[in-house]
Amino acid sequence: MSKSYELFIGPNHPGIPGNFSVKIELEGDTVVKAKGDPGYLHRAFEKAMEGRYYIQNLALIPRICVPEPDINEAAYAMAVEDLMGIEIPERAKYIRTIVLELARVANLTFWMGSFAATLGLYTLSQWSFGDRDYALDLFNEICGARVYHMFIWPGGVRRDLPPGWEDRVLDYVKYIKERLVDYDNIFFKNVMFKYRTKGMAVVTKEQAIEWGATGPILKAAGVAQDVRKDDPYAAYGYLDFEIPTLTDGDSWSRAMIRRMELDLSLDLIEQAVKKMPKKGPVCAKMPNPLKGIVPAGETYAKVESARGEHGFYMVSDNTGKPYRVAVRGASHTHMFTIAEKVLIGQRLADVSHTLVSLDICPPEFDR
Amino acid sequence: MMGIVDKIKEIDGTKVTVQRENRIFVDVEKERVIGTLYSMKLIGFSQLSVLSVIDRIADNQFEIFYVLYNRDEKVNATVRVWIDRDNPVIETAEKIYPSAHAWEREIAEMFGVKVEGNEEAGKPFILENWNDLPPMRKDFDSIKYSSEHFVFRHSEDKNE
Amino acid sequence: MNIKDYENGSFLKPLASVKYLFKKPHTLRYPKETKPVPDRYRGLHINDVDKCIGCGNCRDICPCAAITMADPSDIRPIEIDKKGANPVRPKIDYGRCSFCALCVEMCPTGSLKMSKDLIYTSPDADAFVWIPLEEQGREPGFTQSDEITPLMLEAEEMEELEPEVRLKSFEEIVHGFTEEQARKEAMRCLGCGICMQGCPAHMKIPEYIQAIFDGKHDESTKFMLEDNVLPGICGRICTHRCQDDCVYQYRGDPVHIMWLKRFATDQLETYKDVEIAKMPSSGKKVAIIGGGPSGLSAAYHLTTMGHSVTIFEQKQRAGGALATGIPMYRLPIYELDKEIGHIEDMGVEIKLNTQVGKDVQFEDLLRDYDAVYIGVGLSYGRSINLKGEEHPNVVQAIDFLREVKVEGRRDITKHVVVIGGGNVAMDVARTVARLQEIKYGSKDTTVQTASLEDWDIMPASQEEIDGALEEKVIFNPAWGPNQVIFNEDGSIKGLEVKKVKHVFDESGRFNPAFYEDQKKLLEGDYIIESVGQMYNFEFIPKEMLDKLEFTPRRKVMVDEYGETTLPGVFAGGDLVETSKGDAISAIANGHRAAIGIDRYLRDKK
Ligand code: SF4
Ligand code: SF4
Ligand code: SF4
Repeated sequence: MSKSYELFIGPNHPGIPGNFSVKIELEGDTVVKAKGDPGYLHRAFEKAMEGRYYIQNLALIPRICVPEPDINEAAYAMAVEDLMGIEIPERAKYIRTIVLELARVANLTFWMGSFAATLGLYTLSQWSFGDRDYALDLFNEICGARVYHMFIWPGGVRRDLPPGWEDRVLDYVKYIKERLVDYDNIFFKNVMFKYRTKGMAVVTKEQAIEWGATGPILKAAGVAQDVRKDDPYAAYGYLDFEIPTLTDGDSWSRAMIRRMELDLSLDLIEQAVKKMPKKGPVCAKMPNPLKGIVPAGETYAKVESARGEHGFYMVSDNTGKPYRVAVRGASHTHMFTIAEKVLIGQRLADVSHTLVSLDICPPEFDR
Repeated sequence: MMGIVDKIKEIDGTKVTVQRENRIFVDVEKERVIGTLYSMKLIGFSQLSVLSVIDRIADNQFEIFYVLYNRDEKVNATVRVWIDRDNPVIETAEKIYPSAHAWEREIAEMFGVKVEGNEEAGKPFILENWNDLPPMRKDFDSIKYSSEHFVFRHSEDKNE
Repeated sequence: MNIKDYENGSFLKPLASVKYLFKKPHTLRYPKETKPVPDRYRGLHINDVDKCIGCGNCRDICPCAAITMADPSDIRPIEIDKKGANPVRPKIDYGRCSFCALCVEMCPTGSLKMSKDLIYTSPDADAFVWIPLEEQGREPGFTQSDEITPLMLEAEEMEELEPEVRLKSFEEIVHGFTEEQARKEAMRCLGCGICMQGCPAHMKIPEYIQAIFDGKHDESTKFMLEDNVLPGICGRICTHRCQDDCVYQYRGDPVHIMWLKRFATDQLETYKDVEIAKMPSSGKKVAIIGGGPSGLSAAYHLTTMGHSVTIFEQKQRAGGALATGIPMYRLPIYELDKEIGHIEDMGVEIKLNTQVGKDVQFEDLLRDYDAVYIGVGLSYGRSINLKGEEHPNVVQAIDFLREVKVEGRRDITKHVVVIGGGNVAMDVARTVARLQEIKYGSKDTTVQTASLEDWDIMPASQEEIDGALEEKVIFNPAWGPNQVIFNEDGSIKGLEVKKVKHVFDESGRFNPAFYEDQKKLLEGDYIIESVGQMYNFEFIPKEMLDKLEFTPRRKVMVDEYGETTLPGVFAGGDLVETSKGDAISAIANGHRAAIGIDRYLRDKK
């Protein structure tokens, strides 16, 4: 008779960005049960937002997701704009797009580092964290902060781009493209990567749909669903792009989807910089934030994060503060519905990288 | 061909509001919510994006909302149901949308909604050893709670 | 990229990394090498505490409650000379601050900035709370921008009658806000209350603006009536010192507080439904001499305090200068009727055409009433002893304005000279312009002013000067009157003026000097003197008048509650030092005196 035992992955573990724990039950070194245990990070943001003026929440929202804060700012701003019936200026749309894609690049490089590290290749994490830093420097220039930008706000963006910034972004894009050759060489074309991930933690198309997956999990299983395409926001409607998909739904495919998304993001940045109106306002006129009433209503605003559909459900009761804000992070479903299922049957050594291949971001659900 | 809005209207007991072409609100009675969700899934709303609660304290009601997504029509529909705040009970939707399971655990904990059929709803999820009102309810005063449970430090006057 | 290239893993490709052994590393050798800090960096704050006015908007917007307002005097004494400024400065708790810079965006003076410096360490948690100063030597980083700001810097435009149209009648020039405009304008207000200190009556401005924003005009009016019994009138003719103090003066346009006030009161046909607390009757009686703004104000507040009040007004209308002086195009009669009517509704008795000293004696009032308030104002024109001023076509502004407004005078000559550069002179000149337009179609007519003061020190408000210029009034600034020149038939030829050297002498005293050799003639057959007014105390018996003390500037000496040196006799309005010569300061000191009288009556028992 085999004996099972429990093990905690986390709350502090290199496989997960942010404090979070997965309780697994093993027999031998095979997982028989997995249960996510959130709460280590909970900051009661949804509650806190109800007590603050709309603009004040700017300090909270980027903190919902650490590696990719801008999606929160964008979705929040879109929800407020929707309730107020505000159309943001054209240039602001493009700036948002560039910022969001740059954030995606930063996030994906960050992810690459984590993923390679959980597979034992620490070289790549050194590289990619370093390369992410160059993106953070670009953010630092436009808004004065590296991680929590508070740059996209209701009405548009907070400042116009500093002179020469577009060129520096293009330089960065060029640089990353060059670096990707080496990333491919040491990682994506590395035979060890293939052996560790091919056929691992498969989420089939049917499962992905049934379980409510979004983002790379769904695309890796063959469904081309992407908010940027399906419900275009910012300037995505003006850009020309295809959503990458693969068919196998395994760890390898998910990693490759993210690799393809990197290419797509770099391409989108280039397109957006080229098409962007060179002058013009970047923020609509907004009411005084201490008095600015948002008309009563309910709305759902969503954007595509690096992990999937990221949304804000916002309810206003005709006052200066939101009545209710519900945040939907893609990882909520990915962890509690999908990871808990696909981890079963895995070996202990694969748990970490499976979690990263599903890109579980605890701050997103533990908000 | 029948538009998606008409298809939703065909579902018994639904009141449909179209906010804009891809944002639809569907109001239903409590008894019909599971049936509605089931029918919604049949007509293509295969993804549950968010399930949460709005505390309508002035009406003494909870508004439970399910944001659904139809990937073929590229439409988001929100199914809304109002339930009694004093006796907040709903039936689980996890049989229809497996991802509802975790959302229901969350609303059970944060709002004190009782979810029938979801075995884990009501068990500690995010909170630990919580013994006050469910914290997302409007009548839970977080500042009062903090001042009762934590000591505030008052800094002395200092300047560099 | 082609996915096929990736499907077969390679053993050798990873060796590509070896080349990095020979490349320059990306890491910086800190502290020898540092990264440049971008200009918009959001680091620790910097505050120019001399520019800061302590308005507290930074504290109000802070999402983290990181800011408290503290007295900086131990660390860095500041001079509070700016109007409206509060003697406190933001103090920031860096244990709470999220470096969002919303405080910087919301700072109306632009004194607050972020710096490029974020490094600060101490083992003592309390050391992270301080008042940011410029002296801390941090390099500025993130600053506010005028293009993108959460503040609504621009005021709503007010619709006015065009000059050509408005000259044709005495119709009110300013249209007043529409509902939408008022809401928008009210929305601009930050609720900081800095403006309240500028208002002589310290009206509850943030509260009543908030009520206007909420669409609760009666609540708004209630707030106004607490300190100002004539809000609708002040909403038209006030000198609006509050607006000069509004924090938006530093960036953008001040909030149009005055027009908001007018808007709210205009929404109510009467104030009958405004809830006003009234105390039970005290059985005491107060006599008020003069029905001008200060008398009305004192009377109203005394009534709400439960005393019974009678106003003795010498003219056929109450309102003082409001009724007789201010032209209709600025203040229509119906507004006066509405607000004075409200005061009467509250229980104040107004005896018109009753001159104290003639129809009723001052001594009798002292005997019959428990207290007496003198608010007779400066209702007599001051003459400048101009050579030739005895001529019937040389008149006083105050009489001229009354004749036009109250008695309906419409005749005027073709060429008029107005002496004076104050607001009353503007009222006169603009009234003349209207009469000339109505009578002659402005064909071949002139109206010109001569004032001692040059443009830069002209006492009239800019709005009035602009209005007069638009109505083709000719100005002769820095020309002082010398004498009236007559034609042979005895009619007036014009006013001879001489060039002013200076108005004030070196010590700043009023002491005009002229270039005696530079003279010119302002042609005109009608001259209106508008150089100031004075009071007349003939109604007070001599032996009492002797006991009444005056200040060096010839104002009635009163204590802080308006009591004169005669017991039981109070004074206010333009008679006392606290007056700034406008309605609102008269209303304010009338209110103050009411409090004083109330105290006096309660102590008297
Ligand atoms: S908002 Fe600006 S002016 Fe007002 S108190 Fe703060 S720093 Fe001073
Ligand atoms: S930067 Fe933001 S958090 Fe910090 S003091 Fe200013 S408003 Fe408050
Ligand atoms: S009117 Fe100006 S000074 Fe007065 S409270 Fe409003 S913003 Fe502040």
